[in-house]
Amino acid sequence: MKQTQSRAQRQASPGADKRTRSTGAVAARTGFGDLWRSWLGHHREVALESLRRFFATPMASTMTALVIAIALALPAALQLGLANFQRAVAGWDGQPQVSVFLHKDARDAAVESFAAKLRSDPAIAEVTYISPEEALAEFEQASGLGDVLAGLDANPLPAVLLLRPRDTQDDDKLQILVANLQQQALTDSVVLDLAWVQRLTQLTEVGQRLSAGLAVLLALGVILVVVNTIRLHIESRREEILVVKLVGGTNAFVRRPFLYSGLCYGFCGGILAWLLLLGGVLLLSGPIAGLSSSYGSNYALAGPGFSYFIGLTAGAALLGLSGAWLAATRHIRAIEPT
Amino acid sequence: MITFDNVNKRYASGQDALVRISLEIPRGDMVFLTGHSGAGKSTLLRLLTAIERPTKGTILVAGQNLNRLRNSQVPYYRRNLGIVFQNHQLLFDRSVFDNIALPLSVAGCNKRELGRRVRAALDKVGLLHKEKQNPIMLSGGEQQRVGIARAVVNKPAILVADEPTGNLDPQLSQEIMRLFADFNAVGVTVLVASHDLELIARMRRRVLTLQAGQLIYDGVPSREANPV
Repeated sequence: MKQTQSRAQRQASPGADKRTRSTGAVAARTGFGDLWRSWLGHHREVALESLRRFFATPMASTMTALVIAIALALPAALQLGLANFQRAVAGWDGQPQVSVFLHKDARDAAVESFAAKLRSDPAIAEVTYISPEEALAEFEQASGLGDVLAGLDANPLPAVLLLRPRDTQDDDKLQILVANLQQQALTDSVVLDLAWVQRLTQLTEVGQRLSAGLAVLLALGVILVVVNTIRLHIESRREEILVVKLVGGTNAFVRRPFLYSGLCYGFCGGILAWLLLLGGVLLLSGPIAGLSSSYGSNYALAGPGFSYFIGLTAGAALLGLSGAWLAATRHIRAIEPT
Repeated sequence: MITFDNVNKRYASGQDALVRISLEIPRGDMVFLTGHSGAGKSTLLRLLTAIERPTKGTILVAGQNLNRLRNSQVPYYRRNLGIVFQNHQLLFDRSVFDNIALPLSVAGCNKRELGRRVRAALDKVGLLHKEKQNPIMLSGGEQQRVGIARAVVNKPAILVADEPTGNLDPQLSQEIMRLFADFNAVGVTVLVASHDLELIARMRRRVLTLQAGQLIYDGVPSREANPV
């Protein structure tokens, strides 16, 4: 603003300077300190004014903010769901594990020597022996089906050797190891747990990308909603814009209140989106806590915390500002006095 | 102060609104612009207020060439003009005070100075007691005076008025004209477009008459002999 002014003055001929001195143009009378304070003051006024306008039409404003909120709550909810899912499965080790189920009638001594042989194998880092009794106890605890199992006359579970391969990165080596184990006399079956871990990670990845894609699309939607709303605001204040332009208001001056309005819509939409998430979590947390306690776990849903609040409000405010900027830049330039 | 040099304005429709207009208005002059509707009065004022650009020719205002004015500079140029409209263009969503303060807040004037100047302008047009009212509550003459106060509040070097007495009765028109003459008396260059020939004749000022886009008369008429 100041730059343009000084440029304009430089370009003016000496006659203009004389006029400036004699009658005092606005630019000459208003110091830079004044301009800066007035600029800040104008921002404050405009911000308050746009808040006032927002609440002057509560129904319309809330509906716009709610549209923004719903559009933002969807991807945020997916993200939050994924985060909770990852927390739920965090107990599962990402390390691939090989479970070797032994024949039920294998003798203890043979199992003992088989385990020793495996321990000496350089491809295997760790061998854990789980006896049928231990397996039963663990199953009882994890499944919560103790009463059912107590009704059985014999332990149906086989003994298991849990192996942790040394080289977990190389798929081929793991396959060879599994094939070798399968050929052992004591082996009933071999399960490579890796597949499940991989599937889980891939599933999570799919969810992540889905939520990211959804977020991009819906963010675009939010911008369009704000563009349209601000366009209507601009149309309804056409008269005022014309007068302001005629008395020397710059495009930036005219644009400012609309930018604050966009910011306001975005911010309120962000807060509502966070509240929607919070409501959803509160609604689900009861049943989920019941579900997990029935499995003997004390897992509980994590709500949208402070980071979600900051992310949603700041992100939404930014989207609102961008939408308002797009609308204002396009439409305010088009409104010129005729 | 204002120089038109061979100015042509042709609209996209091919209609020539102004043809080879050359005129000079010295600093501190008070000049009337007259002519039938469609003669080019409004076009001339639109060129002067940088709402439109001339097709040909040069316009100099206070030494500044309007042809070379970039769009981004137009607002700063307009801050040195006071513009009064026929329909006064007041905003009915705010008080008289805020209407008049608009040119000052646009230019970034501080609060105290703003209040002082708005009241000075209100005082000059005799509406000091109505600053808190909404302009919609005022009579036509009062609204026009508010419009004038808004035009002069940033002490412009040039005051431009387009049919300022268009909707007013003769007595109110006379008052408005006297107000313009007062501003002129303190050094403001005043250009008033009007078709009220009787009123203009009574003012005994320089008159520019346009007809079909051409300047056909430039002089000070006597009360008896009305031009056009």
